[in-house]
Amino acid sequence: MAEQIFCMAEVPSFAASKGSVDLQAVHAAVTGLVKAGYTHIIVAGFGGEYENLTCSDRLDLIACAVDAANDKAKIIAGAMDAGTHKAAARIAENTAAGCHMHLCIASHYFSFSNPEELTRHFSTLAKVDGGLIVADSPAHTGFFMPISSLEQISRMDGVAAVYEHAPDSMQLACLQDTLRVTVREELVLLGTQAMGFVSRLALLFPYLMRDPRALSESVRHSLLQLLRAGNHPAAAVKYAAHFLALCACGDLLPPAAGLNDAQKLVIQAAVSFAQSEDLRMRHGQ
Amino acid sequence: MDSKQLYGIVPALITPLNEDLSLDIDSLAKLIEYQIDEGVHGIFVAGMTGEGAALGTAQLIELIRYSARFIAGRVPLCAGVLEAGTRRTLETALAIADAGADILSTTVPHAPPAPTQSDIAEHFAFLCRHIDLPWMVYGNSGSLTNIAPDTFHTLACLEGVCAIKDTRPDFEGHMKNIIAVRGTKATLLTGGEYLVGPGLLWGSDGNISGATNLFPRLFCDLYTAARTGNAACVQEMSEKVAVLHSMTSCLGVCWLSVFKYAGSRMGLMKPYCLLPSQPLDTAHMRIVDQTLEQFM
Repeated sequence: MAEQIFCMAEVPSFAASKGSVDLQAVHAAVTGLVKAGYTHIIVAGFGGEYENLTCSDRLDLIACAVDAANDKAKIIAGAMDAGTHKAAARIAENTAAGCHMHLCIASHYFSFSNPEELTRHFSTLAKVDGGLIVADSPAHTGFFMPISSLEQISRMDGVAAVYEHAPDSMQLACLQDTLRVTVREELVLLGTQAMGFVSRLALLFPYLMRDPRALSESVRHSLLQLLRAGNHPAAAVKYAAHFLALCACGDLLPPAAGLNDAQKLVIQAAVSFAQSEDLRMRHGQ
Repeated sequence: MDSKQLYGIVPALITPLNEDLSLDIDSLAKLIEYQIDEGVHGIFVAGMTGEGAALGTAQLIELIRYSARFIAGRVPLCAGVLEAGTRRTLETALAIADAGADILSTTVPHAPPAPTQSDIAEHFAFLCRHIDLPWMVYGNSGSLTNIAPDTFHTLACLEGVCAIKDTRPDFEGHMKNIIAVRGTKATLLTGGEYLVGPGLLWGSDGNISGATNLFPRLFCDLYTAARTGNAACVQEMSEKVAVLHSMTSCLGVCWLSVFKYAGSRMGLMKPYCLLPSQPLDTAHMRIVDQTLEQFM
């Protein structure tokens, strides 16, 4: 069985001027996370605006992250295209670029007619080297993967983890007794027990997010406010990273709309508070 | 006919595949010839029925090139570019731009958060700014956000948009969209089988559906009847079309598998689909055979 992964830190696809990806900022972000002890780092994932990355963006991101990680962390990249063959092709490309593991979903554009098709999709993809992280994301696919299918998929050789990406804990409540489930960090900040989580905030507050279960209520509240400030999962984190001078541009990739002034103020306040706590923890090491 | 104008009966062409899932070029030629012989007014490849979202770029280019060759300019060729986000859509569109399509088509961005109407307008405006080919807006009811009538109007007024495909399954919504696009330069085509008759009587400019692959003459005759105001004839044919639609939607299996099996029974193609869809089992085959007997 694959190793236990507690926290997978996600890095956004920082935007450079003219809408390309700022690889320098990504490199610095991965380097910082590795230095803070993170062993599994996601690029080109949900929070990396996967759907709006070109193929060359994605491969550049992977190569950049692999270089920055310098064999001290595993790089996980999205391969979330429609249909089994296209997803398999993306996995092959990602592997050739140096990626260690792959984040996959039941593809959008397809309404899987029955659980057999779901199982067939992932059993084909699971034959890759390195391992799959299978994401159940109703927001992307329009349906919850049946519990029985998730159980079956989680037992496949080659599946490292199931990532329950639903925004609520109902599906998780059915799953967590039977599966090693990785969840969104919002659920962990709300107190949900989980075997692992994907963190967008680790990039910003690497010491706080090592164990979010140990955080005070006020810190958790502040972090949740930050995560909820933008509509897109990457919007708030990118702006916060820009506010912390971790990147030159805090915008989403074009042509996505940016945050409004009220949202920015919320993020600034939350970041200021959380950063002071993160620094306190860092110096307390 | 203006090669940049899409109207009338436009089959959402099935992509015939060999057993090794390579493009079945012979069947593609046969299928296209069948459609044109029976009177269709355009052909749409690499849409949902054409498994467009699951085709790699190289296979997509191959499909478009061969389709353009076999059509030989007789009717407009529209090609789907079914990627999830704007920049990826543009990347693929640029890669296929010289393959021979007259028109490209894409959906709204397909990833959360659900795009706003403003996001949708900007998505298509961005694509129109960056590529010279005209676009058909693929208003897919499976998208995260339905395109509102006002937005359809805005899109229809964009210089780079020549057509709208509206797949809303409810007639009220479809009527509003027909009204919204009326008077603009863009044509509006109904997506799917159920509303083809009512939509045409109410003012849509045509229809794009998968069942057309199997019986294009039925759809073309329905179009002619609607254009001449023969409501009784439209109703009669619409009920036949509804039988075809039921064949694909009631079996609990992927509709693509049903279309491909039906096409194989008619000698038009082999039954193979891209994964994860699989060919039908015996019981489902029997149901499809029984339905086809009513039409053949």
